[in-house]
Amino acid sequence: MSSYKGVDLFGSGPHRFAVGPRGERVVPNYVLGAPGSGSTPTGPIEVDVVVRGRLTGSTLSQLWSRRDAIAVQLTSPPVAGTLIDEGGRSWADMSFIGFEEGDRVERGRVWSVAYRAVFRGFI
Amino acid sequence: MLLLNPRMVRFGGEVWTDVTVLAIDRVGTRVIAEWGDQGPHPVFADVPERKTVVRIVQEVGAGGLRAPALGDEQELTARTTPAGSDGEAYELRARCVVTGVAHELSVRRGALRTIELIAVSAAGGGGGGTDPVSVVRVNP
Repeated sequence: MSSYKGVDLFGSGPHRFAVGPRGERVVPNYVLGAPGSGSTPTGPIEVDVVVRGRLTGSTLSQLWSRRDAIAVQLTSPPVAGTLIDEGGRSWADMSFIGFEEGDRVERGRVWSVAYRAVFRGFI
Repeated sequence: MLLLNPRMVRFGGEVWTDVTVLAIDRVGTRVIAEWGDQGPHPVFADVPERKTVVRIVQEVGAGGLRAPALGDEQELTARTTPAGSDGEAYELRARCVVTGVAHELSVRRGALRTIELIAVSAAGGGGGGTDPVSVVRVNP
């Protein structure tokens, strides 16, 4: 079971984890006003973990309660917590910074909506 | 669902005679399949958009000039009994829109008209949430 701050946010439906780019942020010298045509390393990239999936509910109100449970975790400013994927891999000090739903709520056998949730490890 | 030689087929106020086949096909026009991180097979599938297509094959004779107009919306009613017996009868009802009319002529089968319709769910009946086709048992 995946979780964020110990809460199962995405378990109602299928979801997948992806880790964004890692490495050094490199800025062209002309942007920094530095001499020469090269670039300058400015520090490590903040790592994003992106969760893509589909929330489901047997009723529309159940689906809304699951969407609301996610939305309540979006605080300003963000409060970091531990994100754990279904394989047990964990990322500490991750801030929940974005939640975007698909273009429609689907009603077939169940109610469902696709989503993309972004967590960032601020430096 | 397939009805062979239904005893009666009505479309609104019109009676369609000599119907040999009434077929109802269900088509998933939007299919969702989702995978998880743990394996190669889908872990979720659903069909949130679907279409119920009704196909009626009618033998037409010399009086086959009156064909249904495309876009006509009426209630389709068909009654059938198992193997054409006098036993319990079933009535099929569906609000339908005519989407196609085609004719075929052959020496063996004569002149046939195929009418294709889409069954629609009543706008007030949950906004598409109810099955547009209903089948009830009736007295023969």
